[in-house]
Amino acid sequence: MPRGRWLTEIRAGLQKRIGPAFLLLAIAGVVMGSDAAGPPVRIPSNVAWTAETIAMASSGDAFRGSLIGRRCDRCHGREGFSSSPTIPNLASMDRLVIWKQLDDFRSGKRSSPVMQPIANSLSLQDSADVAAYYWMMPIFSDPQDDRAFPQPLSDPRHEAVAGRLIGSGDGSRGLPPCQACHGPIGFVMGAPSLATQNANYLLEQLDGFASGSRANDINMRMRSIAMQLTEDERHALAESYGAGVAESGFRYAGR
Amino acid sequence: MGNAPRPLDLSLRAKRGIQVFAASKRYLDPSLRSGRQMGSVLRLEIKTLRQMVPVAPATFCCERMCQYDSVSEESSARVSNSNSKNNLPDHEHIPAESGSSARKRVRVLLISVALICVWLTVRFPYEAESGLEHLLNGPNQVNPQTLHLRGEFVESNLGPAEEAGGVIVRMIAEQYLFVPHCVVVPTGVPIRVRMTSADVVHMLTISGTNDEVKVVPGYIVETRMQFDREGEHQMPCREFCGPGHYTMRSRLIAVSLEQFRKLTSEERTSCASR
Repeated sequence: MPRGRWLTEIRAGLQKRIGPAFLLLAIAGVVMGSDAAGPPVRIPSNVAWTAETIAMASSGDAFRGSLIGRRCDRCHGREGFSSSPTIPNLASMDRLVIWKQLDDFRSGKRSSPVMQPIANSLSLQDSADVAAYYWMMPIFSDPQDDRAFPQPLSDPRHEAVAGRLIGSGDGSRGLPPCQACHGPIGFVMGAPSLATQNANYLLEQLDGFASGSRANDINMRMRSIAMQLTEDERHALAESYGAGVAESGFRYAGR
Repeated sequence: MGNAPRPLDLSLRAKRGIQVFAASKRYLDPSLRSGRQMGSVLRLEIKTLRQMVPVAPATFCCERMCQYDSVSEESSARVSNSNSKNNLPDHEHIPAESGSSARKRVRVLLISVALICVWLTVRFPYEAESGLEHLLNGPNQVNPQTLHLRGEFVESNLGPAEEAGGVIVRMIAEQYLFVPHCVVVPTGVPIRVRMTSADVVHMLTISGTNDEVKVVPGYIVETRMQFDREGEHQMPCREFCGPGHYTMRSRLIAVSLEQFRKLTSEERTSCASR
C-alpha cells in the first residue's frame, strides 16, 4: 500500500463514519451532562466553603474592623459581650462564622429585621474586617462590663440533661454530641464555638432550626439535629450554654 | 533432517520449567533423591510434555531448533513444510491486502473506533472514570463544598423520590449525620441509593441487610437494594469520621407501596415523630 494513502483513508473515514458518530456522541454528552428540570431548588446559603471563600473571609483587617465595629457596640457590647441575653456574644467567635452570617443576612437567607439592613450596608471586605476584629476579642470576664453572660440556671437538673447531650450526644436517636462540632473537642467549618453564648439567643435559634424558620445551615445539619430535640432538651441546652457550663468542655467528655 | 535426534533440545524456558518441576518432585518425594532416578523421572516428564503438546516444537520454537527436532513424523513433516514455505518467495502470491474493499472497510472501522477512543479520553481527561464510563453512567464527580448550591444533592432534591421502575433515594453523608435523617422507602420495589459526602469518608450500613457503601467526598456512589418486608432499619456509619462518629446513625423505614404513595415528600424524610 502506498504511504500517502493512509492520510486519504483517514480523511475519508472521518467524513463518512466518524463525523456522524462525533455528532451523536456530542449530543449524548450534552444530554447526560445537563440536569433535568425538577422542583424549585432551595438553596440554604450562598456561602460554600471553597478555597476562595475561605481566603476572602479570613483576609480581614482587624484594625479596620475595629473602626467599623463601633457601630455594633450598642447591641453586641464594647468587648463583644452583649448586655441583653437575646443578642449574641461575638467575642472570639470564628471569623468564618461571622462572615457567613453577615453574607446570609445580606442575601436574605437568614432573616432579621435588625441585621439585614446593617449587613446590606457592609461590603464583603467590611464583613471580613469586622469578623477579624471580633475574632480577636478575648473572652476573659470583665467586672466593669455590663454583660449578661453568664446567667444562672433556672433549674439545676438542666445541667445534667444538657451535659449529656453536649458531651456524648444520643446515639439511639442519632444525635451527635454538640462539642464534636461546636468545640472544644472538634469543630466543623462554619460552626461557632458556643462556650460563651447567651441563653435566650441560643434558645431562639434552636427553636428556629427546629421549626424551619431559620434554615441557612448548609446541608440541613442543624435542622436535622434540632428537629429531633425535645422542647425541654432545647431549653436545657440553651440555659446550660448560657450559664457557661461548657467553658470547661472536658467535664462532659464521658457519660 | 539427517541429524541425530536430540531428545533434550527444548527451548530454554521449557528446560527451566522442567528443572523447577524436577526440583519440586524431589522436594515432595524423598525416594527420588538420587540422580539416576531423577534422570528417569525427567525423561518421563519430557515424554509426557511432548505427548501433551505435540505441535509445540513446530509452532513455538525457532526455525533452527525445529530443524533438529524429530519427535514424530508428523511434527517433522510440519517443520519441513514450514521450512519450504519460508524458503519460497511467495509473498507476491498472497492476494493483495489493499485491493479488497472489505478489508478497507474493516480498517476504516478500526481507525474510527480508535479515534473515538482517543476523543473520549481527550474530552474528559481529568475524570476519575474514563470518558466512556462518563457517557454510559453520567458524571459521578461532584464538588463536596458546593453540594447545596447546584447539582442533584441540593436540599430540595434529597430523600426518596419515585422514578421509572423504582425509587431513587439521594442522601448526603456529613459529620455526623446522614441527611435526610430518616428515610421512608417502599417494599417490593427496586431502590437506587445515590450518595455523596460533604466532608470526610463515611460508610453507610443498613442493619439487617448486607448493604453497605463507602461514601467518599468528591464522588457519587450508587447502590441498589430492595426490601421485601416492612420494618425499621438502623443506618449507622462504619467508617471512623471524627469525634462524633459513634452517634452517626439514621433510620430507614420500609413501608408498603400504597402507604408510601400516600406520604408527602416532607413525611418521607422526617420521622422524628414516628
